[in-house]
Amino acid sequence: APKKSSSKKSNNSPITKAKQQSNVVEEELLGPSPLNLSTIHKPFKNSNYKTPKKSKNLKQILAAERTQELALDVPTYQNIECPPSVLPQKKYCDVTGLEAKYTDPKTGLRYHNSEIYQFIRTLSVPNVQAYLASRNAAVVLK
Amino acid sequence: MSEPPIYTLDEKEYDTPYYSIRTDYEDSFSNTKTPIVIDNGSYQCRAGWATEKNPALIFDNVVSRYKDRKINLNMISVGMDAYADPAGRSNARSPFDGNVVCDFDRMETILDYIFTTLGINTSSIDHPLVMTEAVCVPQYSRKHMDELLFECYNVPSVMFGIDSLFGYYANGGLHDDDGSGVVISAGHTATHIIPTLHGKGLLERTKRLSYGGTQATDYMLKLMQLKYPTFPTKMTNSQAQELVHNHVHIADDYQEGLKMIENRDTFDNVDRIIQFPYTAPVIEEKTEEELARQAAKKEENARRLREAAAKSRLEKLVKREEEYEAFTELKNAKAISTKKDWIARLKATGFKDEADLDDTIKQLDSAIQRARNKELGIDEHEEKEPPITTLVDIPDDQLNEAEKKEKRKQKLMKANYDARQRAKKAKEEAKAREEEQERLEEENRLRDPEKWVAEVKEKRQAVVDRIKQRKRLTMELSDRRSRASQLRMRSIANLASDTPSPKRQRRRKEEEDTFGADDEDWMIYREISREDESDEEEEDLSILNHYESLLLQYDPDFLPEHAYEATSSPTNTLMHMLARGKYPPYDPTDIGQMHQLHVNVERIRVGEVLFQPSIIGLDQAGLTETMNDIIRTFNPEERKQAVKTVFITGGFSSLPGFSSRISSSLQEILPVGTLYSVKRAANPLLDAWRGAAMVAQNAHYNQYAITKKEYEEFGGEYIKAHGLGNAFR
Repeated sequence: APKKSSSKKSNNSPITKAKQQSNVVEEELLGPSPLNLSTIHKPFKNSNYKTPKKSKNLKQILAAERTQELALDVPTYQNIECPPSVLPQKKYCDVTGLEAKYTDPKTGLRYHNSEIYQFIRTLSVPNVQAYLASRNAAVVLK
Repeated sequence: MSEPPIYTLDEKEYDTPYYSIRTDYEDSFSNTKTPIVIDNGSYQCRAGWATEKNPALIFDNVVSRYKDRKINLNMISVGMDAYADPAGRSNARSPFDGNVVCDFDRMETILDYIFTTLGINTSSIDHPLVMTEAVCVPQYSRKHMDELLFECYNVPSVMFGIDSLFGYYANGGLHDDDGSGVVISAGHTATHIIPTLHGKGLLERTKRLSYGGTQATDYMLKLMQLKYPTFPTKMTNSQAQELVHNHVHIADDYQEGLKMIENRDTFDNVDRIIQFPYTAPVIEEKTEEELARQAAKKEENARRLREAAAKSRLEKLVKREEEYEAFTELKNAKAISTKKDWIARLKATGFKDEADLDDTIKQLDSAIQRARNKELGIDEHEEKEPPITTLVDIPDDQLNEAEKKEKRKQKLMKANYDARQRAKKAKEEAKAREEEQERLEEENRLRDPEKWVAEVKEKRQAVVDRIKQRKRLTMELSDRRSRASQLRMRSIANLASDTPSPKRQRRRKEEEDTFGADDEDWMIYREISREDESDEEEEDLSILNHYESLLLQYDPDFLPEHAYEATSSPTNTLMHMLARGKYPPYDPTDIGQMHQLHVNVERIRVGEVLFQPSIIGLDQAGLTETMNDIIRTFNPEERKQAVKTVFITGGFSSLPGFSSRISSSLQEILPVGTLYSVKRAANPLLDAWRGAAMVAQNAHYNQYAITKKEYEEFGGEYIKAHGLGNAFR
């Protein structure tokens, strides 16, 4: 049976007691405040449990999973990702979003008509890259 | 035309604290072993007692650690409470990375919040737990989740499942048609397509598309930033989310939708104006009396100036008159005094000789006359009589010095006068010619109106072409690599070189360089110079205006919108229409309009990415293609069963038009005549929790829970496959 978890209240020295009281008074003056989980008493927690400080992010987790080799038909987090499309892709104008019948050879931007083309010609390099980045086609220098 | 509706962005305000701690634990739930159901989603967490109809807590799945400046206390807030303080709002973080829980410190805080709010005051959680996890969640995540639940909270048992399958269960999915179907779960971080057979989810055939609510929000934000680079305020993620939730829909036919936007007439059906909050500038409204005072002051100043000017004029006039009198007196004195004395007097007053004196007197006289006339308001017409030319014809050698000088002066004045006469005559001639032309035009017009209109149209077109040609040329010249630039360079090089091209020499057949003798040669400098030909352009524009005014008057087909200015002005372009709408017309000085956005293409584009992920460059197959692949994995009998129920759930699926689009997609991929139906979850957000609650109370599923003993024996990755969740690897 788990031990009785120790109280999370701070020790009863006069200074801390005074602080607590003043906090309470202040809280009453300032009105309702959100639930503060750092000070609230949680009896249901095991006091011996130590929260792991380090946590991996998804990329690291998946990298570790990749090393574990499984049979090919077992579904894993990475397995079930949709594969690339085999159908021909419709191209859309990077500036307006309408159908793009043309591509500018200089910048690689797709455009809808000559008016948009005139606009594209006036764009500076960072703006061009911003438009390309919206469809993940910007030049990324590693 | 009515004013189009303007939509605003509402900032959501939450109560503080969002949930108060429940007090019914002792009475209702203590010692009852009621299961606690937690639908742990990447967008929201929904938790509560399984016996209740609705989850007791629904909150955004975020944790915020910050220091509250007002009461100087370190705070840890969860969910909507984190949004109460601005410092908290910016610090709000999710325990999720994608749709997988990675940060268990924050997960622990979330669980603390849930259990505290439910009012649990026992020394351990004495209730079985039902939780959701991601499809094919990595073992690391489940292991740490188990560890957290069993070791920190001492939960007796835990059952994991997939949220969309729980939702399917809640909507009766497992009982219809032998529990076969396709579940489409459009979630916050991803969209899953899970086929089911005989009541069990087939995870080997499941597919996940990495586009969900959060990617849609990010894309909307990016699109808006590209469309309005000079927008005065920064758009936040939550505002973009508002836009997506309220204004995005799924087009049934994307190409048709785009055509509707491009067409100026149907554009207004799609376009929406979003007004961002802004502060109107405070204009100091001057009161009536202040304005009157200012006007009076101005009047006063003007009057004073006028008076001063009049006074100075008067003074000058008086002075001139005095001088005039003095000089005439001096002149008259010639008759009285001796010549020597008089000449001495002249010199003393500062005149060289008598002629000088005469001139001065004459000038003074005319000046006085002019001033007098101005006072009296007589309009004076400058009548210049032909000058005296007595000495002009006499040859030089017959004259003395003074007379020679006189002659030169007379010659000059004669030349001036002649030139002026010539100019006047030329002007009159030009005017006569113009009038003649106009008369001819009128005759032409009256004689044969259609032909005349056609002629004017042609002339106008010629001018337009000329203008366009000039524009094109200037643009070409600015580009160094164009042909025009190269030709220009060649001519410059030729001019500058010491050895001009052989062609020139051959033609000239001369040794010397005779460039410049011919006027035509100097024209080359005109071509080289890159200065703008604005005066020619102005000329062309005025001619164009003239033709257009004629056409407007006499040609019924020529409307103001056909005029050159209207077709070339920036307010007429496609981009302007998409960014600023059509009506009311955009006024750059209006602060309210500066803070407005127009969503038109974005409304359908953001949703369309699900079906065409290549729009954002995501290298995955779209929803329709993936559904096709999955349905093909069934054998033909199973296929018929499976498509009878296509179940749609998940928050992102509540976008208008979603289910009808799925329906059309199914029609595309299934053979003609196949019976299929698309079923929407009754409540896309809450049904997962409800299904999990149903499962928690269903005794049949109790065997699938992992008890603490099994956790200790088999480890944290262990799980029992029950058809509504993952399988053990």
